[in-house]
Amino acid sequence: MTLSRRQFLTRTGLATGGLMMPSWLGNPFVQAASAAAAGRSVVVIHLDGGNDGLNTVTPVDDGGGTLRTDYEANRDNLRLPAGSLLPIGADANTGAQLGLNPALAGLKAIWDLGKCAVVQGCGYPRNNLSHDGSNRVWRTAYPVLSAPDANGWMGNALIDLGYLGTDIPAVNIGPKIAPSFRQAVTNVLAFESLDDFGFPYDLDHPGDDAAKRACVDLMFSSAVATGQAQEAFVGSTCGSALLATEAFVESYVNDRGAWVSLYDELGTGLARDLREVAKIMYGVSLGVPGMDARYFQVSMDGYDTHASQGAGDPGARHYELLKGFGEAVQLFYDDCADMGIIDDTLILVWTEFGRRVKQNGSGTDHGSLTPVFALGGQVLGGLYGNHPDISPAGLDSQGNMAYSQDPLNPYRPTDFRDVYGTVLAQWLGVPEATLLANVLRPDPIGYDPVQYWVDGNHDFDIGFVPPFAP
Amino acid sequence: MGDENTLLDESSAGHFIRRTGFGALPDEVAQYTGLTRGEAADLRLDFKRSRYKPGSGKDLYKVQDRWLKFLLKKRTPVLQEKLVLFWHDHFATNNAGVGSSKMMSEQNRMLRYHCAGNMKEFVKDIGRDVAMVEFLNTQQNHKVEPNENYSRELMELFTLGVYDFAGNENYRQSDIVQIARAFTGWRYVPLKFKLYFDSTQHDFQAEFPGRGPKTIFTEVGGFGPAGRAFDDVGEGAPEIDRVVDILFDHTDTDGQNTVARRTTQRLLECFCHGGFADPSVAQPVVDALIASSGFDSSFEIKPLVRALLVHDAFYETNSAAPHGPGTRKSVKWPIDFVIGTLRMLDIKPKKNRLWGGDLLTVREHVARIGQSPMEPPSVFGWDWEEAWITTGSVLARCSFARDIAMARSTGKSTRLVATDLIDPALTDPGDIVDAATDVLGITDELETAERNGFVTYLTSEGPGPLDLTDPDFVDRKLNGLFALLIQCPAYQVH
Repeated sequence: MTLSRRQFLTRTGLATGGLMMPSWLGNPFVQAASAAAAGRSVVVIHLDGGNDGLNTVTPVDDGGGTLRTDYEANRDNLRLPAGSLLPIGADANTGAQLGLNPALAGLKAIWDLGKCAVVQGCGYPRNNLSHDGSNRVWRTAYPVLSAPDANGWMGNALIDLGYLGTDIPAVNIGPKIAPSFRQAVTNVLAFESLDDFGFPYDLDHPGDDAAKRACVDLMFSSAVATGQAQEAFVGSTCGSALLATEAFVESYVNDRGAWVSLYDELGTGLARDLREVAKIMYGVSLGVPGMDARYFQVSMDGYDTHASQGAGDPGARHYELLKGFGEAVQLFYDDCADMGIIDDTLILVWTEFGRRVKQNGSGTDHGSLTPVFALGGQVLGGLYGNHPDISPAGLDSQGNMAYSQDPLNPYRPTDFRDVYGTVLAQWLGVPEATLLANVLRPDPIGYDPVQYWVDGNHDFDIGFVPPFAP
Repeated sequence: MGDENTLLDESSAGHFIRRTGFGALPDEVAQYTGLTRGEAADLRLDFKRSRYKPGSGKDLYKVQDRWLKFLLKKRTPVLQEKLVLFWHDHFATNNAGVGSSKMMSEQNRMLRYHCAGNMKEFVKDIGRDVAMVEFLNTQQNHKVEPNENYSRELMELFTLGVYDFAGNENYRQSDIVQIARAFTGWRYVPLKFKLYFDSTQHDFQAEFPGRGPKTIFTEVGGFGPAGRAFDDVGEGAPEIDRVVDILFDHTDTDGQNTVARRTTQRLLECFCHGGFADPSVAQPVVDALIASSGFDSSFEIKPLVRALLVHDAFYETNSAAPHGPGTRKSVKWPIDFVIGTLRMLDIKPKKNRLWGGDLLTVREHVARIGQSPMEPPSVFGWDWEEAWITTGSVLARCSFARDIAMARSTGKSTRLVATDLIDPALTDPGDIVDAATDVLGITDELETAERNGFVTYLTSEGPGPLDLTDPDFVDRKLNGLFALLIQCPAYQVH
């Protein structure tokens, strides 16, 4: 027994344009004529491992509740001193002042521009404590456990935005295609660096390049035409790679060398990956023929801080992670602003879960609710949603922040799908009916998007970006 | 339909050699042609328990280099190493999390020692492996707040899996919490890498009566005998082995052994193809292999692998062109692709480096292609099959092929000498292409159009007869042909 080609393509990230035609026979990077999106970009950053949200956005005081008291009761040597936190205003529900981890000076700079939205307490019903399980929920936006190969939320959105097998709308910087981008209709590129992004010909015999190119072109397209699924997949990917290398130009490196140096000085993996995203976005902004990638994914790992997490001191593990994150994001933000594209850029930062409220030894175990960040030139900065209830009464049987959409719950969490919905509907203009049908489906174990539209209006709109207006 | 008495023809022998090792050399194929499947499996599995480790581990690169070099050695039992890679992926531990290449090298020795042995003993030893103790925080697992990291992965990844074949949950969060208690107090001495049990840090029931009895699998049915205590052999150090015993008794909803099923399924995915990821596809074959090997009671790995190697499923991906949509192939693992190519082309990299193109080491090539040994991306290991293939990784595979062709200014044994591999007296372009594809074992895999494309390439400067005694032509076009063949999609699968 074997999977059908269709199933096979669904299993995999990169897809070809159905059975008829190798995806790369068209011009790579060419965007489909899509009424939506209006030339806007989304850069998704995954903090891999489960970031400790409670030590990222932290109560400074109790306000009218008990947040700081509860925080101090659960965090001992991991506790961030109130005076060290970078203030970002008060939680609407409790009135408690909140602050960013002192490592997040980079993020605070964007906050001070009014361009950083903090959506507190994001999660989903029946939280899954496995990295794999919870990632799958966030990536597919479908908490009834989806198959490992299910389409990703961004993958489904790419389909709804009208991209076809002739397009390459998305690029993942990393060793593999992010499951969030998985689908079987259009193409997603994945690579770690544009530096060696050229087809490798024999440098000693450049006169033979044309004959080699003709041969690889033939063998790649023949592999697609054979219909043998794995070989066809390899052929299709090779073909996309060949043409994409020929479309890329060195303009960013030539024009923006000073910025390249700044990324390199930071020296972190995230800085390096965002540098690659910036290169492509610059090419797109210049209108380089054949380049129109708009959707990007990068990932930063190390957040699974079971041990030696540390508190708010330089050198501590979690501090250094957040510092690296904040610095890289600030530089990328400034770079996009300098390129004149920040108003068309939305940066979305997520993690698969927060961590256990009560620390465990020198670290924290897997948790549930956690903040999501949205950054960009058109972002309406500020605090959204409620800080989770971390008092003993607010925790579930495992000691994690409870998820309850009871309208009477003053700590009511934000379902992460409303964040996705806001990005897709308000930022990219995907019609709400399409989202409900294809991307953010209600599921039988407790997610009903309509029920969560607290204001009674039928829309995905947390409010961190203005309503779509192309 | 075949069985262990089915004779291997040349094509099946080549397939058997490639899938149980790294590439296939002509003398190996000749040796196995004419054997029965059973004889071939016995011969291939006839290696002794090894205590080899890839160096003392001064630094990570040295450990990686040593292992990759070991894979290239002619006397290395290649199926043993394929199994070590399989288990390295299964019990995935990475140097970034462990922070000690010495511990990674010791773990590699342990993986090799158990790779064809008894899986229950294997899992018990993995829990005591200092690299694992560090990687999944057993080192920090203290009675006051038991750390769940190891106990979760022990069930989710190393033994049971989250769901059984029927899609029912195999365990609950409460089981993770209980098992974490069993692993409290195990410590190793940093720099001495010695494991010991500190009973003062162990969770004893008398001290924590609120945590209830040390019992797992009380909540859901279908686990065989429900509600198993793991301190019935005495509280303290014996608990960790008792937990493993209980996990190995766990059954699926239909009564079949869970660990046996999941392990067999993973082996099928690794040695046959990714279609076995689907439980409905896997179940008939899995259950047949367990029945014929007795793996669900003995947990002996070698008989299970033998059962797999004589089953039709193992030969399923050995099919010649033209391929239809129903044909199954498997994407070569990056280490298989690189090591197999070097072995078949008889290239012995000097100082582990390919002296052409980007001048990368073998270690750097496998890393760029997506499989750096000792550095799996996470405890989940590597993603297989189509996940190996991305825009970036195919370009890295193509660069490796190009670098082989460009390694020309070095000694004879360290570079591609194509005229040693095929008869330099050949003049017909088609014959030359066939001889080259024979070397790489893909002649039967190519469609006519692909073969014609290689002939067109070879004759781009003028029609045959061609002169393989002309060193310039060989350097330019015959090396070029080998690079193209290694870049060919048909060569990326098997």
